[in-house]
Amino acid sequence: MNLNKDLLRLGILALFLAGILGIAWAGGYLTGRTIYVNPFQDDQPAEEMGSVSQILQELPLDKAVSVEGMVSRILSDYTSKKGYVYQQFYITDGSKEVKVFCSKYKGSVDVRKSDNVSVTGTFQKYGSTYEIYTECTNVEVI
Amino acid sequence: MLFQAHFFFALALGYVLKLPAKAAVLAGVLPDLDTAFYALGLPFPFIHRGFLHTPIILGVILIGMYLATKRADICAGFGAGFLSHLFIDTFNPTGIMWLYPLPTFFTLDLATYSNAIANWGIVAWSIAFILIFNARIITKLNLKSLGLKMRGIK
Repeated sequence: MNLNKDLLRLGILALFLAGILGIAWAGGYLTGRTIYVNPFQDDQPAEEMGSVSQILQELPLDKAVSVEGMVSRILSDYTSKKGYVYQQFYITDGSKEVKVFCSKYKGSVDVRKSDNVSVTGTFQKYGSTYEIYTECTNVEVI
Repeated sequence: MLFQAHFFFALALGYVLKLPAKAAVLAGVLPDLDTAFYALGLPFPFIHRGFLHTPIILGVILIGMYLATKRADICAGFGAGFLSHLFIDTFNPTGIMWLYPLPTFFTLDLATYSNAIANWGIVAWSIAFILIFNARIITKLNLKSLGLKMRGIK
Protein backbone atom coordinates (compact mmCIF):
# COMPACT_ATOMS: atom_id res chain seq x y z
CA MET A 1 0.00 0.00 0.00
CA ASN A 2 2.80 2.39 1.00
CA LEU A 3 4.75 1.34 -2.08
CA ASN A 4 1.78 2.26 -4.24
CA LYS A 5 1.51 5.65 -2.54
CA ASP A 6 5.22 6.28 -3.01
CA LEU A 7 5.02 5.30 -6.66
CA LEU A 8 2.03 7.60 -7.13
CA ARG A 9 3.89 10.48 -5.50
CA LEU A 10 6.93 9.77 -7.67
CA GLY A 11 4.73 9.81 -10.75
CA ILE A 12 3.17 13.10 -9.72
CA LEU A 13 6.63 14.55 -9.09
CA ALA A 14 7.74 13.42 -12.55
CA LEU A 15 4.63 15.00 -14.07
CA PHE A 16 5.25 18.19 -12.12
CA LEU A 17 8.88 18.47 -13.26
CA ALA A 18 8.05 17.50 -16.85
CA GLY A 19 5.43 20.25 -16.89
CA ILE A 20 7.97 22.78 -15.63
CA LEU A 21 10.40 21.74 -18.38
CA GLY A 22 7.66 21.93 -20.99
CA ILE A 23 6.58 25.39 -19.87
CA ALA A 24 10.14 26.71 -19.99
CA TRP A 25 10.64 25.24 -23.44
CA ALA A 26 7.33 26.71 -24.63
CA GLY A 27 8.32 30.10 -23.19
CA GLY A 28 11.55 30.10 -25.16
CA TYR A 29 9.89 28.73 -28.29
CA LEU A 30 6.87 31.04 -28.36
CA THR A 31 8.81 34.21 -27.73
CA GLY A 32 11.31 33.26 -30.41
CA ARG A 33 14.89 32.32 -29.89
CA THR A 34 16.02 35.47 -31.67
CA ILE A 35 15.04 37.45 -28.60
CA TYR A 36 18.30 36.30 -27.11
CA VAL A 37 21.25 35.86 -29.42
CA ASN A 38 23.73 33.77 -27.54
CA PRO A 39 27.11 34.33 -29.15
CA PHE A 40 28.77 31.81 -26.89
CA GLN A 41 27.06 28.67 -28.09
CA ASP A 42 29.06 26.18 -30.06
CA ASP A 43 26.18 25.59 -32.47
CA GLN A 44 26.13 29.21 -33.66
CA PRO A 45 26.77 29.35 -37.40
CA ALA A 46 30.44 29.93 -37.99
CA GLU A 47 31.08 33.40 -39.34
CA GLU A 48 33.84 34.18 -41.77
CA MET A 49 36.69 36.09 -40.29
CA GLY A 50 36.38 39.78 -41.16
CA SER A 51 38.46 42.87 -40.66
CA VAL A 52 37.52 45.74 -38.37
CA SER A 53 36.95 48.08 -41.32
CA GLN A 54 34.74 45.50 -43.02
CA ILE A 55 32.58 45.07 -39.92
CA LEU A 56 32.24 48.81 -39.38
CA GLN A 57 31.26 49.26 -43.01
CA GLU A 58 28.61 46.51 -43.00
CA LEU A 59 27.39 47.16 -39.40
CA PRO A 60 25.86 43.70 -38.83
CA LEU A 61 23.98 44.73 -35.70
CA ASP A 62 23.13 41.92 -33.24
CA LYS A 63 24.78 39.35 -35.49
CA ALA A 64 27.56 36.95 -34.58
CA VAL A 65 30.87 38.10 -36.02
CA SER A 66 34.48 36.98 -35.97
CA VAL A 67 37.11 39.67 -36.27
CA GLU A 68 40.88 39.74 -36.23
CA GLY A 69 42.88 42.78 -35.26
CA MET A 70 45.62 44.27 -33.17
CA VAL A 71 44.97 45.56 -29.67
CA SER A 72 45.33 49.34 -29.84
CA ARG A 73 43.99 50.50 -26.47
CA ILE A 74 43.17 48.77 -23.20
CA LEU A 75 40.63 50.30 -20.83
CA SER A 76 40.21 49.46 -17.16
CA ASP A 77 37.78 46.67 -16.26
CA TYR A 78 34.12 47.56 -15.84
CA THR A 79 32.13 46.16 -12.91
CA SER A 80 28.35 46.06 -13.23
CA LYS A 81 25.90 46.66 -10.40
CA LYS A 82 25.45 42.91 -10.06
CA GLY A 83 29.17 42.41 -9.61
CA TYR A 84 29.97 41.06 -13.07
CA VAL A 85 33.36 42.17 -14.32
CA TYR A 86 34.08 42.96 -17.97
CA GLN A 87 37.33 43.51 -19.84
CA GLN A 88 37.29 46.21 -22.48
CA PHE A 89 39.79 47.08 -25.14
CA TYR A 90 39.96 48.25 -28.75
CA ILE A 91 41.24 46.33 -31.74
CA THR A 92 42.32 47.88 -35.02
CA ASP A 93 43.18 46.76 -38.53
CA GLY A 94 45.40 49.76 -39.05
CA SER A 95 42.72 52.15 -40.26
CA LYS A 96 39.69 51.72 -37.98
CA GLU A 97 39.15 50.40 -34.48
CA VAL A 98 36.29 48.74 -32.65
CA LYS A 99 35.70 48.14 -28.99
CA VAL A 100 35.68 44.63 -27.53
CA PHE A 101 33.59 44.28 -24.38
CA CYS A 102 33.89 40.85 -22.86
CA SER A 103 32.59 39.20 -19.71
CA LYS A 104 35.12 37.65 -17.33
CA TYR A 105 32.37 35.43 -15.90
CA LYS A 106 33.82 32.28 -17.46
CA GLY A 107 37.43 33.45 -17.39
CA SER A 108 39.59 36.36 -18.47
CA VAL A 109 42.04 36.79 -21.32
CA ASP A 110 45.52 38.19 -21.00
CA VAL A 111 45.78 40.79 -23.76
CA ARG A 112 48.44 43.43 -24.11
CA LYS A 113 48.79 46.39 -26.43
CA SER A 114 49.97 45.33 -29.92
CA ASP A 115 48.78 41.73 -29.45
CA ASN A 116 47.03 40.24 -32.46
CA VAL A 117 43.72 38.75 -31.42
CA SER A 118 40.69 37.08 -32.93
CA VAL A 119 37.34 37.80 -31.34
CA THR A 120 34.03 36.00 -31.83
CA GLY A 121 30.93 37.65 -30.43
CA THR A 122 27.89 39.78 -31.10
CA PHE A 123 28.31 43.07 -32.92
CA GLN A 124 26.14 45.64 -31.21
CA LYS A 125 25.68 49.33 -30.59
CA TYR A 126 25.85 50.44 -26.97
CA GLY A 127 24.97 54.10 -26.63
CA SER A 128 26.82 55.72 -29.49
CA THR A 129 29.61 53.12 -29.55
CA TYR A 130 29.84 50.05 -31.73
CA GLU A 131 31.30 47.09 -29.91
CA ILE A 132 31.76 43.35 -30.02
CA TYR A 133 30.20 41.78 -26.97
CA THR A 134 31.30 38.33 -25.91
CA GLU A 135 32.80 36.15 -23.20
CA CYS A 136 36.52 36.78 -22.72
CA THR A 137 37.09 33.07 -23.34
CA ASN A 138 36.07 33.79 -26.93
CA VAL A 139 39.02 36.12 -27.37
CA GLU A 140 42.14 34.39 -28.63
CA VAL A 141 45.60 35.90 -28.77
CA ILE A 142 47.18 34.76 -32.06
CA MET B 1 14.26 32.83 -13.36
CA LEU B 2 12.48 35.52 -11.42
CA PHE B 3 11.63 35.57 -7.72
CA GLN B 4 8.00 34.52 -8.13
CA ALA B 5 8.90 31.45 -10.18
CA HIS B 6 11.46 30.30 -7.61
CA PHE B 7 9.06 31.00 -4.74
CA PHE B 8 6.08 29.05 -6.07
CA PHE B 9 8.14 26.24 -7.59
CA ALA B 10 9.89 25.61 -4.26
CA LEU B 11 6.59 25.82 -2.38
CA ALA B 12 4.92 23.34 -4.73
CA LEU B 13 7.88 20.99 -4.49
CA GLY B 14 7.55 21.11 -0.71
CA TYR B 15 3.91 20.05 -0.98
CA VAL B 16 4.52 17.36 -3.60
CA LEU B 17 7.39 15.81 -1.62
CA LYS B 18 5.62 16.33 1.72
CA LEU B 19 8.52 18.37 3.08
CA PRO B 20 8.44 21.50 5.27
CA ALA B 21 7.20 24.14 2.85
CA LYS B 22 8.69 27.11 4.73
CA ALA B 23 12.20 25.63 4.59
CA ALA B 24 11.75 24.81 0.91
CA VAL B 25 10.58 28.33 0.05
CA LEU B 26 13.35 29.96 2.06
CA ALA B 27 15.96 27.87 0.27
CA GLY B 28 14.20 28.39 -3.04
CA VAL B 29 14.77 32.14 -2.97
CA LEU B 30 17.99 32.23 -0.93
CA PRO B 31 20.49 31.89 -3.83
CA ASP B 32 19.28 35.21 -5.22
CA LEU B 33 19.98 36.95 -1.92
CA ASP B 34 22.81 38.85 -3.60
CA THR B 35 20.37 40.74 -5.82
CA ALA B 36 18.99 42.46 -2.70
CA PHE B 37 22.50 43.73 -1.96
CA TYR B 38 22.92 44.97 -5.53
CA ALA B 39 19.53 46.69 -5.39
CA LEU B 40 20.54 48.49 -2.20
CA GLY B 41 23.90 49.40 -3.68
CA LEU B 42 25.75 47.33 -1.07
CA PRO B 43 28.85 45.29 -1.90
CA PHE B 44 28.59 41.51 -2.12
CA PRO B 45 31.61 39.18 -2.25
CA PHE B 46 30.28 36.89 -5.01
CA ILE B 47 29.04 37.50 -8.53
CA HIS B 48 25.42 36.74 -9.32
CA ARG B 49 24.77 33.09 -10.19
CA GLY B 50 28.25 32.25 -8.98
CA PHE B 51 29.21 30.54 -5.73
CA LEU B 52 25.74 30.95 -4.19
CA HIS B 53 24.31 28.91 -7.05
CA THR B 54 26.37 25.78 -6.48
CA PRO B 55 25.66 22.46 -4.76
CA ILE B 56 28.76 23.01 -2.60
CA ILE B 57 27.24 25.93 -0.72
CA LEU B 58 24.11 23.83 -0.24
CA GLY B 59 26.19 21.06 1.30
CA VAL B 60 27.87 23.50 3.68
CA ILE B 61 24.53 25.00 4.73
CA LEU B 62 22.93 21.58 5.20
CA ILE B 63 25.75 20.35 7.43
CA GLY B 64 25.50 23.49 9.56
CA MET B 65 21.72 23.32 9.64
CA TYR B 66 21.64 19.66 10.68
CA LEU B 67 24.20 20.22 13.42
CA ALA B 68 22.16 23.16 14.70
CA THR B 69 18.65 21.68 14.46
CA LYS B 70 19.05 17.87 14.23
CA ARG B 71 15.90 18.01 12.07
CA ALA B 72 16.31 15.85 8.97
CA ASP B 73 12.92 16.93 7.60
CA ILE B 74 13.82 20.63 7.67
CA CYS B 75 17.17 19.88 6.05
CA ALA B 76 15.43 17.82 3.35
CA GLY B 77 12.95 20.64 2.69
CA PHE B 78 15.75 23.15 2.52
CA GLY B 79 17.76 20.92 0.19
CA ALA B 80 14.80 20.38 -2.13
CA GLY B 81 14.06 24.10 -2.25
CA PHE B 82 17.66 24.99 -2.98
CA LEU B 83 17.97 22.35 -5.70
CA SER B 84 14.70 23.60 -7.20
CA HIS B 85 16.36 27.00 -7.63
CA LEU B 86 19.39 25.52 -9.37
CA PHE B 87 17.13 23.30 -11.49
CA ILE B 88 15.11 26.09 -13.05
CA ASP B 89 18.11 28.38 -13.36
CA THR B 90 19.66 25.65 -15.52
CA PHE B 91 17.01 26.61 -18.12
CA ASN B 92 18.80 29.95 -18.59
CA PRO B 93 21.33 30.26 -21.39
CA THR B 94 24.08 31.05 -18.88
CA GLY B 95 23.49 27.93 -16.84
CA ILE B 96 24.74 26.70 -13.50
CA MET B 97 28.08 25.36 -12.34
CA TRP B 98 26.72 22.04 -11.07
CA LEU B 99 30.24 20.65 -10.66
CA TYR B 100 31.75 23.71 -8.97
CA PRO B 101 34.69 24.31 -8.41
CA LEU B 102 35.00 23.02 -11.98
CA PRO B 103 34.19 26.14 -14.05
CA THR B 104 31.84 24.29 -16.41
CA PHE B 105 28.38 25.76 -16.87
CA PHE B 106 25.52 23.36 -17.56
CA THR B 107 22.52 24.77 -19.35
CA LEU B 108 19.38 23.45 -21.01
CA ASP B 109 19.09 26.82 -22.78
CA LEU B 110 15.29 26.78 -22.82
CA ALA B 111 14.39 30.34 -21.89
CA THR B 112 16.01 33.53 -20.66
CA TYR B 113 15.68 34.32 -16.95
CA SER B 114 13.08 37.05 -17.55
CA ASN B 115 10.97 35.16 -20.10
CA ALA B 116 7.40 36.06 -19.10
CA ILE B 117 5.75 32.88 -20.41
CA ALA B 118 8.27 30.64 -18.69
CA ASN B 119 8.12 32.51 -15.39
CA TRP B 120 4.36 32.95 -15.12
CA GLY B 121 3.79 29.47 -16.56
CA ILE B 122 5.92 27.98 -13.80
CA VAL B 123 3.99 30.04 -11.25
CA ALA B 124 0.62 28.85 -12.59
CA TRP B 125 1.70 25.21 -12.86
CA SER B 126 3.12 25.32 -9.33
CA ILE B 127 -0.03 26.90 -7.89
CA ALA B 128 -2.08 24.12 -9.52
CA PHE B 129 -0.01 21.50 -7.71
CA ILE B 130 -0.10 23.45 -4.45
CA LEU B 131 -3.90 23.43 -4.63
CA ILE B 132 -4.01 19.72 -5.49
CA PHE B 133 -1.77 18.84 -2.57
CA ASN B 134 -3.37 21.16 -0.10
CA ALA B 135 -7.07 20.44 -0.27
CA ARG B 136 -7.64 22.61 2.80
CA ILE B 137 -6.83 25.68 0.73
CA ILE B 138 -9.45 24.69 -1.83
CA THR B 139 -11.98 24.06 0.92
CA LYS B 140 -11.32 27.44 2.47
CA LEU B 141 -11.47 29.18 -0.89
CA ASN B 142 -14.72 27.47 -1.84
CA LEU B 143 -16.38 28.11 1.48
CA LYS B 144 -15.37 31.74 1.51
CA SER B 145 -16.45 32.32 -2.05
CA LEU B 146 -19.80 30.61 -1.43
CA GLY B 147 -20.32 32.38 1.89
CA LEU B 148 -20.73 29.05 3.69
CA LYS B 149 -19.72 28.22 7.22
CA MET B 150 -18.17 24.99 8.44
CA ARG B 151 -19.74 25.33 11.91
CA GLY B 152 -21.58 22.18 12.88
CA ILE B 153 -20.35 20.21 9.91
CA LYS B 154 -18.00 17.34 10.54
